This record gives sequence, C-alpha cells and structure tokens, in this order.
Amino acid sequence: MKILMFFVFILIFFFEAPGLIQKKYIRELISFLVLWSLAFVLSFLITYDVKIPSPSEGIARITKLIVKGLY
Amino acid sequence: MILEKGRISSSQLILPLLGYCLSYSVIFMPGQEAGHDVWISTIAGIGEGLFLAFIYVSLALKFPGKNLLEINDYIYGRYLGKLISISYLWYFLHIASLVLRNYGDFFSGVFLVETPYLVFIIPVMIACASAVRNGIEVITRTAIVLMPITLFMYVFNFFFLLNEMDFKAFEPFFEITFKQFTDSSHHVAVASFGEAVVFLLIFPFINKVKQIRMPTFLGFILAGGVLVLNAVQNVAVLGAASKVSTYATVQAVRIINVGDIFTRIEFTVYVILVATVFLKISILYYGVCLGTAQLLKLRTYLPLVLPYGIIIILLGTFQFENVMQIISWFNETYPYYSLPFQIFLPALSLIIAYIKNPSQEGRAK
Repeated sequence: MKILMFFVFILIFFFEAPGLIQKKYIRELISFLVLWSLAFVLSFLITYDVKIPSPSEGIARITKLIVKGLY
Repeated sequence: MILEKGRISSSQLILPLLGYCLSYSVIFMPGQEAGHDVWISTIAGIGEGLFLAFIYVSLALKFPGKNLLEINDYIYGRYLGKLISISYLWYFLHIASLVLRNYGDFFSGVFLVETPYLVFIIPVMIACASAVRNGIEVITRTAIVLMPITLFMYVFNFFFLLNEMDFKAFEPFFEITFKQFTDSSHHVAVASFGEAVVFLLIFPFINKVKQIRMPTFLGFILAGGVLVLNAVQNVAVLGAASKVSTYATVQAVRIINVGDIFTRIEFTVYVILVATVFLKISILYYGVCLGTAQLLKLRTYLPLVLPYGIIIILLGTFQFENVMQIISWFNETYPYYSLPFQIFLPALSLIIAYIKNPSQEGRAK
C-alpha cells in the first residue's frame, strides 16, 4: 500500500514536471512542487498513523468561543 | 495571461447552479431539526437564499468581468484583499473535502458496508480532476447532461411514493419555537444556497455578464423547489422518523413497492448523489485551482490540479473519525463558520462598492 502511494506521487511528478521544465514555466513549477510536497508529507504522515490536528475541530473551538462571547 | 479561455452562456448557468445547490442536501435534508415543519423552514431558507443570490449577483454586476479575488483586491486593498482571498480559497478547499467525505461515508454506511470510503472517494476525485483540467465549459456541459436525469429521478421517486404518503404527518401545523424555526431555515440557506459564493469566480466567464440575474435566481428557485419536494416526501412517508434518521431520503425511497416489480429502487438516490456531488466538487475544485493560480500570478492552473486533488482527499480523511462527528459539526459549527464567507464579506464588499462607486471611476479614466 505504501509502495503504491509512492508510485502515485512519482507518477504525478513525471506527468506534470517535464512539460513545465520544457516550457520554462519556473513559477508554475515551484508552486506545483510546493503543493506536491505538501500533499506528499500529509499522506506520508497519515499512512504512518501520525495524529494530525484536525482543522475542523479547531474551527469548532474558535466559533464556540466567539458565539459564547457574543451571547 | 488569461487562465481560462472557455466561455459559457448565461442560460447554461442554471443547471450547474441547480446541481451545486442540491448536492448533499439530497441525502441529509438540511433543516431536519424542525421535524415535520421542515418544509416551512425550507421555504424560509429559500427566501434567505434568494437574498444571498441578490448580493452575489449585484456584486458581479457592479464589477463586470472581475472575479471574487479581483473584487477583494479592489475593495480591501492589496494586502487585506489577498488575505481575504486566501481565506476564501481555504473555505472552498474545506467545503470540497467535507462534501467528498460525506459522499464516501454515505456509500460505505448505506450501500457497501464493508468497503472503506476511500474506494468511493478516489474514482469521483479522478473524474473531477479530469473535468477541472478541461475547464469550465466541460463542467457546465456535464451539468447539462446530468441534471435532467437527476430531476427526472426526483419526480419519479415522488410519484411512486404518493400512495405511501400520509399527509396527516404535517399536523399540528407549526409546532416549533421561533428560534428552532430560524435555526433550521438558516441551516437550509447556508448548506444549500450560501455555498454558491464560489460562483463569483465563474460569473466573469459568462459571455453576457449583464444577463446573469435571471439564470441565478431561476437556479436557486428550482433547487429550492426540489428541496421542498424532498422535504414533503420524506416527512409524509417517514412521519416522525424523518427527524432522527441520518439519511432520510434513502429510507423513504426504500419503501417504494409497485406491484412487487418496482422494488429496491434507492439506487436512484445514489445516482442523484453521484451526479450532484461530482458537480459540486468539480466547481469548488476548479475555483480553488483557478484562484490559487491567479493569486500566484501563474500562466496556467493545470499543474495545480492533481496536487490539490490529493490534498482534498487527505483533508477529507483525517479531519473526522466518523459520520456522527461530521453531522454534529455541520449542525453546531457550520452555520456560524460559513457566516463571514457567505454573508458578511460579500455584503460588506457590496456596501463599500456602492460607496466607492467603481463605475464612475472607470468613466473618469
């Protein structure tokens, strides 16, 4: 399963990057690499069962604080 | 550099808007907490939805040819505008992940119980990625193919359930308190209509921008009509159980039995869900990719599509552990969380736009 994940990421890299390098779209290449590595790190952490703080839970806490403060 | 060369006509806007507004409202029945008065709160929710549509349309007409991010830049200045644009992009990304997760949970909870939800999520995400890479024209054309089928299935289900309906279930009339009523109607508005704020990114691609008013209102009213029909059907068939069942529509449609031939046709609900969720996620996903490319001043948004797709899947996976958490989050947090994005910021932009009056400035130049 983990090998499959690595394979998918490498596939996506070779699908997008060569064309961008050929056209000399450097800005696009950098933003692609940043997002790609973010996705890679996230899925790496999830497959190795690292607990990531949930943004929705954080949002729930903040809204609760604000709503309580207003009422 | 133009990021998107495709153009759609204003009448083509109705069907994607309809699919976008329906999506998971089909299975969840928003405003469920109003019990058997849910149809009244749905009608009130349509009123609020039309008010929101009025804000979005006026904003788009005030700045013809400009999308949400450019409007933010113009109104709030370069830095604050960018900050607001980034928060909007996060909001779209977040809703897309939530819709995706709901979709996966629904199928692994109702249809194939032993299968993990990722199995349902990944194929629809691949289809969405393909649609987004092909641009806005393809997304609207898929809507033109998919939505008539969806509407047909709605009407089909409604008519086949007619002999199961007990209209005494609506009595006593208006049994809820005023607070429950406003809560549930607001819930209907934010869950189905308010999320259409992403269409502010799509309005500039319409060839005759001045004509967007009618199609937008028509799309909202049509979606509202379907939601009321759905609410009436569920309450009349299930009675008091419609308030507590997680997926009320499926429960209702399961009952259909016409001469022992037409049985187990809840697959129609699955078809409706797949079609509408596909549309909703593609539009949100498209908005996120286009917005990011515009924010970073890229020449094309295509390289961002696949990484964003994976991020949406991952966001959907790790945020919640089970369906109940999502539902309680949707009932308790979501109506407040979406307020600034759906109502406050667009309304504030509109007020500031009227004070600043861009049309006169344009003429002065």
